[in-house]
Amino acid sequence: MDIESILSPEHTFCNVEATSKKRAIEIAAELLSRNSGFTSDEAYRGLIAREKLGPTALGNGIALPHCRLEHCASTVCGVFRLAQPIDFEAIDDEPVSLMFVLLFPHDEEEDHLRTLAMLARRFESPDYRAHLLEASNDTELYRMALLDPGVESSRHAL
Amino acid sequence: MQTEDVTIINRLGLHARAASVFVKKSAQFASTVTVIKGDRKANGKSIMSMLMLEAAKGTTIQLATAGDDEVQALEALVALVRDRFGEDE
Repeated sequence: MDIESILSPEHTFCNVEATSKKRAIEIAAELLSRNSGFTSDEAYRGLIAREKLGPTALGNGIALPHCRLEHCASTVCGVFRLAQPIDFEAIDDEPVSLMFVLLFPHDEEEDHLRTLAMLARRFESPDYRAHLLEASNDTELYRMALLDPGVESSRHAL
Repeated sequence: MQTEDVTIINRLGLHARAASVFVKKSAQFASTVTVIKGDRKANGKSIMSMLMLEAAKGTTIQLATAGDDEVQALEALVALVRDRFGEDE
């Protein structure tokens, strides 16, 4: 499981203007549903329903809104760097500046934990988080998102 | 320090919501909470650290608590895992 297999440059967005968690999720649903088998409304409803079960903020300014979708053929990841940090009811009370959105196929179970673990390992790295926050455009954000904090040379390889 | 082995029995395993519920419970205690799966150790008060364990249904994890309220913390956390983190299945 690697991030390249679920994240494409078209799904990486720098400086997203959103003033609330609801609005940020609405924007994410809209952007990720383009050229997909699902509608933005399906994605929005799924993500909001999941948030209602408990906020998906993981701490350290990162949130991971996610849900399963009926018409999603394979796992889709979207990275959103918010222009202003927003309240996400995080356990550490830190506002969220980075939102990784995951949309899973309806019947997907095997890869779910693997995907979460792969991302969590990256999020644990202060360097990884700093690189994402420093990115100044979508392309740069995509390249930063692909970095593997466990591999020292990965940055130079890009 | 107190330790106890417990098997994860909820269908989705230690996914994001379960990890978050666990961390919230851990935070109610002053003791440190460590979750061990094989040769991997996680901080039971960090959602990210817990997610990195990638613990699916059927996995046996060891909970270790250390501090003034280690007995109560261990009891509450073992009960939470056995209660499927409050989930239905």
